[in-house]
Amino acid sequence: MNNESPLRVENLSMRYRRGLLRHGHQALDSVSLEVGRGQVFGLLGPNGAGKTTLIKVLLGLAVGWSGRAELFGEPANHRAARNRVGYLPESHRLPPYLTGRKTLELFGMMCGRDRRWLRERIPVWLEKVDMTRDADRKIREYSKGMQQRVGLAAALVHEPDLVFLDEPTDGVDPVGRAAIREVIAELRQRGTTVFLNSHLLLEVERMCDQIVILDKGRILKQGSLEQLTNDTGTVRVVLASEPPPDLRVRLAERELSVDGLGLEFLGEQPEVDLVVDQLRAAGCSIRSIEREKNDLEDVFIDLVQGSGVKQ
Amino acid sequence: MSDYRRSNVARALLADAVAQVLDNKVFRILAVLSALIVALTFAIGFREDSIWLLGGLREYFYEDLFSFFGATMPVGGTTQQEAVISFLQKLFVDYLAGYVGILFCIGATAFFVPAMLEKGFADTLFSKPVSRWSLLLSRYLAALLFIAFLSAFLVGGMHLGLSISSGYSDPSFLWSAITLVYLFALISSFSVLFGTFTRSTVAALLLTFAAYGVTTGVHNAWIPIQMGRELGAFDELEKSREEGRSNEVADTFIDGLIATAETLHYILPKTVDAKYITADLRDQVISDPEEARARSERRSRRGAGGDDDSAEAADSKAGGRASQGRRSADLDPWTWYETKVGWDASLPFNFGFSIASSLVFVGAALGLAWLRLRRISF
Repeated sequence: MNNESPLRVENLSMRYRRGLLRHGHQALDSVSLEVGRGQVFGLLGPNGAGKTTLIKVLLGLAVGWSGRAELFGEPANHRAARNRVGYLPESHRLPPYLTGRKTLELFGMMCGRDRRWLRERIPVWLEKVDMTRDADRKIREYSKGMQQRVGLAAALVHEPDLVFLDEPTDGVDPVGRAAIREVIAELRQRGTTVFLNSHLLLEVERMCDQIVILDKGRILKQGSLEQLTNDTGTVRVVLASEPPPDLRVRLAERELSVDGLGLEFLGEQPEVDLVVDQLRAAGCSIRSIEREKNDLEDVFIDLVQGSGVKQ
Repeated sequence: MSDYRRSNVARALLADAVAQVLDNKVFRILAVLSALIVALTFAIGFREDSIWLLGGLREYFYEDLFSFFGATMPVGGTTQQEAVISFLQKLFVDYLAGYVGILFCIGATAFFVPAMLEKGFADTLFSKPVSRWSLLLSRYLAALLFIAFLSAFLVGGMHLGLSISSGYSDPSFLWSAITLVYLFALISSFSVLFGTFTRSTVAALLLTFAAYGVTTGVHNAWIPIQMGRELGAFDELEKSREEGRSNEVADTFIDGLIATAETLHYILPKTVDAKYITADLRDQVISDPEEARARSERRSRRGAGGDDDSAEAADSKAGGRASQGRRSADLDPWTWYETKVGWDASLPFNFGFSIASSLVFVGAALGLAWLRLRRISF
């Protein structure tokens, strides 16, 4: 296997044009990103941000884009590249006339895999998505959650090196969601690159190594979870016992107040060291110290609202 | 890790096409109807002089049956057995399957392409490492499989039933199955074309029916024009033009109509020729040259494809005089057309040209559909 990047996009733009006058809207605007091998890559953005369009360009489902888009070093929409890719679209539909098992076989064979090879693996994938019991029922008899789980297995049955999952837990019950998270974790362990598109920030937070926030076709921010959810500057100290009154006075002189057993202040590392020294010198036992961080939701809302204001 | 193999993709597309056809409700209904017809040919035996029910359990003589309905026994080169059996073959295969069945099949398969292009399903399908052309072609072939299964079952089953129960074997009848598939292949190309452009089953269905109507109409208009040309029907018109007696507006209109019919005839698939091709192929299968000649003559006498007008009907049109029957048939464009067409005929009447030009149309329709499909963003 080559060391090429599973996914690379440079200055990718796409404008949907409709109607006689060819009016349209800019779905993607000079997007550039690269996904490393074995990463779980999260794509976040409000509705209409261009997340699904980006996936569709990469899979050859959208036409009329400009820029550069590659999968495994091959131009996007190249059939050879798609052979190594699995895709679970948002609101997907599976052939209603097939059973779950036959659907996996069909999709696996459409990716060029042998029937015999597939028949060994299909039961394993059905088990992973908890669909063994209903595998021989027709798709048209499945609930939305069941279709989602079979859809996920169908996207993975040919054992691709890169998987695009567009809202994979949509319509799935909490147990099913846990099973899907487990599958994604397993994929990561196996070195499969996962490109996850989800509205559920908690899921992205739990599963992704790298995150991109997209809005109105532009990348607003990208980086690891650590990089995105930066410090707010606030430090929280929890004491094991009430501080003595003279310490309260000394802290008040520095405009710090103790609320019960908690102490909260804004400061960099020297400030933190100073406070800790004072507490310890006064014989206070410290239970915990932590820096407050933005959670992904705060970052996301700030960025998207900020982008809206700028626009 | 299993490697990518193109043959696996082809197998998958074929399996999907078969599954889609077998799941289709209209297909099942038509299969049941075909099974009933086939069962009838097993249950009822048409012997030399009588009809046998369930292997001879009951017997009814033709003469009694005809007289019961106040009709006279047909006379001529055919035996009663052959007359009844060819009537049944025509009724069930040429009329029921060839007209009604084909329309049902169009209705049942028109959704194949629009369904493939529906949001959600298209994303899944077109993201696979399969070209758009292959997917389009697989849907077209699925439609052909649909009719191929049904016609093979109906024609093959009837042939077997008639051979066993009636002791009458006519292998030339088997050509009808191939012709049904050929006819459907021509019409189904419209369905694929319109299905790709409109992405709507209803629109594709209505447009296909309309196109089938136009194609048949154009061909049926072209035949009398050619006959008129050959028999000098336009001479009077030309003469009046030369003498300045004609109306210029009317002339332009008539010329325009003729030119349109002729142009469209050469462009559109020649669906009407299917029955003439079948009749000719059936004659060629007959091993006995005498019998083949007799059949061909009978066909020629009966009129277009042997099904529109009987020789008697032709006689009655001409005033009921048998001697004028032939002349009447000569004035019938479809009888005239039947005498003109053949494998060795001149280009406009040549079966090879008819098939080749129709297949070119099918290729062009599928090519246009593919060009459209390439431009679709899902």
